[in-house]
Amino acid sequence: MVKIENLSVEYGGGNCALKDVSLEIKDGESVALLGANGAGKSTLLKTLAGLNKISSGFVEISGVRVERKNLRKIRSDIGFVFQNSDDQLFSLTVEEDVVFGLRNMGIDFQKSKEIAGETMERLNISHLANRSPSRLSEGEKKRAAIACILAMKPKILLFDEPTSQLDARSTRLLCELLKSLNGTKIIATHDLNVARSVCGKAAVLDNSRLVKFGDASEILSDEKLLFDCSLL
Amino acid sequence: MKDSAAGIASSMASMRELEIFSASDARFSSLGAPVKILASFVFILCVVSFGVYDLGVMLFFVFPAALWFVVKPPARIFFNRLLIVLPFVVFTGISNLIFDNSVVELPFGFQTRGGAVSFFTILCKAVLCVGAALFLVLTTPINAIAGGLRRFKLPCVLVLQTVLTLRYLEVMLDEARRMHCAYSLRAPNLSGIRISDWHKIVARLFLRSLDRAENIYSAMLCRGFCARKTMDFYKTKESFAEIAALLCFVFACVFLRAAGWIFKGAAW
Amino acid sequence: MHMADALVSPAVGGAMLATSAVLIGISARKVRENFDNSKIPLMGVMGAFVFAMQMINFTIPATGSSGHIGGGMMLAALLGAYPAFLVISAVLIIQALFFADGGLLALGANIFNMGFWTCFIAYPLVFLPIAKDFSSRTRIVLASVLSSIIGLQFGSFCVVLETLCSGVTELPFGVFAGLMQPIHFAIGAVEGALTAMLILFLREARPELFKAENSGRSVSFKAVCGYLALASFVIAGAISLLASEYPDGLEWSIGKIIKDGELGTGGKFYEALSLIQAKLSVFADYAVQGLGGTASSVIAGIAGVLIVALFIVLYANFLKKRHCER
Repeated sequence: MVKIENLSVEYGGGNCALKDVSLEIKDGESVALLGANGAGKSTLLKTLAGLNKISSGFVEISGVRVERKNLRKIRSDIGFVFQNSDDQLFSLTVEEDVVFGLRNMGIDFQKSKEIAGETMERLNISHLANRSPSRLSEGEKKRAAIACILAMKPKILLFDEPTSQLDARSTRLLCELLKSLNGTKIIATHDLNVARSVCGKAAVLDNSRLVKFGDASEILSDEKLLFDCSLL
Repeated sequence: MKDSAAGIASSMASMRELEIFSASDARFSSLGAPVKILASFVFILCVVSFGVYDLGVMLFFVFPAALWFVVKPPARIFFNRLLIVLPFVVFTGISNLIFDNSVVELPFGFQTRGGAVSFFTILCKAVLCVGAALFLVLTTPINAIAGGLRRFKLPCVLVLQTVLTLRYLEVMLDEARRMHCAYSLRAPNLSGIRISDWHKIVARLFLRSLDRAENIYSAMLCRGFCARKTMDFYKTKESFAEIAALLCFVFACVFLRAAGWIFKGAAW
Repeated sequence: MHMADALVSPAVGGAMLATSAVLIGISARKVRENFDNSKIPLMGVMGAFVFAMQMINFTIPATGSSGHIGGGMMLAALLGAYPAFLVISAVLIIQALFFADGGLLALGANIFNMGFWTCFIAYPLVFLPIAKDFSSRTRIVLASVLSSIIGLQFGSFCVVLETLCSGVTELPFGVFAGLMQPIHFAIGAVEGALTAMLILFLREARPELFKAENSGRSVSFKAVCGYLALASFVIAGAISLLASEYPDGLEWSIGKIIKDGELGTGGKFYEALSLIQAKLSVFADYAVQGLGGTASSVIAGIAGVLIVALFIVLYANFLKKRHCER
C-alpha cells in the first residue's frame, strides 16, 4: 500500500512543487496521475522513489516510511520507469542494462542473465539483447527500459509519462503491456486515453495540489474538472 | 567547436571500440583484472628502469610481439595512442641529440653519439609503455578494471568517479551534437560557432549535461545502485593459477631486465 | 603537461605514485565525511567536462605551440578542494588507461602536478580569499585567473623537476624551465578566463551550486600550514641545491664596478659588527661549518626554515599576549 499524508515538496529557491497532498493507494490498484505540465506529477513519483527531499508530511510504502535510512528497502519494492528512456539505458548493450539492476540486488551473473533473458522474451525484445541502446527506436527503448525494471520484480511500478515520444501504434502496444502487468501501478500522464484504458483510479493534480482522487471513469467524464485543470 | 566536438566524438568512438573489443576477447578475459594491472605495472617498471644508454630495453619487445600475435588488436588503435605520446617524447629525445655530445661505447665495440642512443631508448620505452597500457584495456572491460582498482583498495568514490566520468562523457557529447545542430540551423551563414557565443553554449552544455546526469544517477539509484556494493561486485579473488601466471611473468621480466645488462652502453 | 612513462624513472614515478596515493586517501576520507551524495552527478559531469576541455587544444600566440587547460581550478571552484582532487585523479586515470595521455607509472606525477597545486595550494590560498562569497564579478575573475596561473606554474615547474630528477633528458634546467613556464603562464591565463566565465554563468543559472555549507569547500588552516611547511622544507632542503652558483644581480653589478670584486671596508664599528656576525653565523654561506657537500647545504636550509618558523611563532604569540592584555 502507498500512503501519502500532507506531503509538501520544495525545490531550491522556495519553489513549491507539491503542496499538502494526501492520497492512499491500495495493493494491486492502477492509478493515473493526471495533470498539466508542471502540476507536480513527476515530483510526486520521484518523492515516492526517495529521490526528493520531503519538506513536510510523509510517505509510506508497504508500511515503511520513505526516509534516508529505508531507501534500500523502498527501492527494492519500487520500479520507476523514467520519462526519458535514455536516462535509464546507459550500458553497452540492452542485456547489460537489464542485468544491471539484478546485479545490484546481489544476484549472481549467470542467474541475472537468465532472468534478463526471460524478461526480454516476455516483452518481445530478445532480438535486441546485444544491440546498443543508442541504436533503438523510441518504442524499443521504452520496452527495454521497462524490461530493466520488470526484471527486478518490484511490487509497485511507477511510470513517468510512458507514452510521450511514442507513435500511436507504439502507444497502443504499450497500453496493452501495462494492462497485462500485475501489481500496483501509478502512471503519471496527461494522455487521457492512456488513463482511460489502463487505470481504474485517477488522481488529478493542479498547481502542485491534489484536486480530486477517485474512480477513473468518473473523473475522466468530468469535463469541467478536466478543463479547469488544463487537461482539456 | 565543431572540430573539437569531432575530435571528442572520434575519441569516444575509439573508446567504444576498445570496450567492444575487450568484451569480445576470450583469451585473456579469464585472467582477473588485478593480475593484468599488476603485470602491466611490473612490465612498465622494468622498461623504465633501463638507463638512457641501455639498448637492452629492446629485449622487452618480445612481450608485445607475442601478445600482438595472440590478441590481434587493430593497429590503428595503437598508432593513434602513440601519436598522443610522441610529441613530448620526441622533444625530449631531440634535446638529448642536441645537448648530449658524449660518445657511447656499445657492446661488440660499436661507438656512437650518446644523444642518438638516448633518443632511441626513449622512443623504445614510449612504444613499450603505450603498448602495455593498451593491452591492459584491450583485454579488460571497464567494469573489470574498476573491480581491479577496488581490489588494490583504491577508494570507492574515486573508482565510481572514473566510471561515471566515462558515462557522462557520452551524455555530454550527445548534448553537444544536439546543441551544435540546433545552432547551425539558426545560423546557416556561419561555418562554426561565433566566439561571442562560445561561453554561453559551453555553460549551457554543462547545465544540460548536469540535468541529464542527475536523471541518470537517479535512475541508477532506483535500480539499487550503491557505489561500494556495485564496485565490489566486479572485484575478483585471484586463483592459484592466476598468481602462478603472474609470478612467471614477473620472473620473465626480471630475467630479461638482468639479461639486458649485457647491452648496456658506457658513455665517455 | 601529461608526463609519459618513458620520461620518468622508477624512483621518481614510484615516489610520486605514493605521494598521490596518500593525497587521494585523505581526499576520499574528507569526501566521505563531509560530502552531500547528491553532488556525485555534479562531480561526474565536471569530470567529463574537464576531460572534454582537455581534449581541445588552443594555439598560444607567438610561441608556435598549443596547449590545453588542466581543469583543476575549475573543479576546485565548483566542488571544493577534496572532491576536485578526486575528480581530476579520475580524469587522469581514464586518460592514462584509455588514451595513453600520460603513463601509468607517471600517473602519480601527473595527478600531483595537475591536482595538488591547484586544489590544495592555489584554491585555498589564492582563489578563496579573493573570491570570498562569489558575490563580486571582479573578484571572481581576478581569483580565477590568478589561481589558475599560479597552480599551473607550480605544476609545470614540477614537470621540469621530475623529468630532470629522472635523468632522462640532457636539456639544461634553465632552457627546460624557460620553455615550460611561459607557455603554461599563457595556458593558466586562458584557463582562468574560462573558469571565470563558467562560474559567472553558473552563479546566475544555478546559484545553489555555490552554497558554501556542506560543500566541503574549505581546507583547514592546519592543513594549509602543513602544506606550506612541507613546501618550505622541500624548497630549502632539495630545490635550493639547484640554485645557481653565479652571483646575484647586486653582486654581479658590484663585481663589474669594483675590480677585485669586494667592497673596501674599514673602521672599528664595522670590525665589531663583523666579529658579532662571525660568531653568530652558524650557517655561513648556507653551509654547516666543518661539514661539506650536499648534506651541509640541506641541513643548513632546513635549519634555517625551522629557525624562521620558530621566530615567527614566538613573535606572534608575544603579539597575541599583548593584544589580550590590552
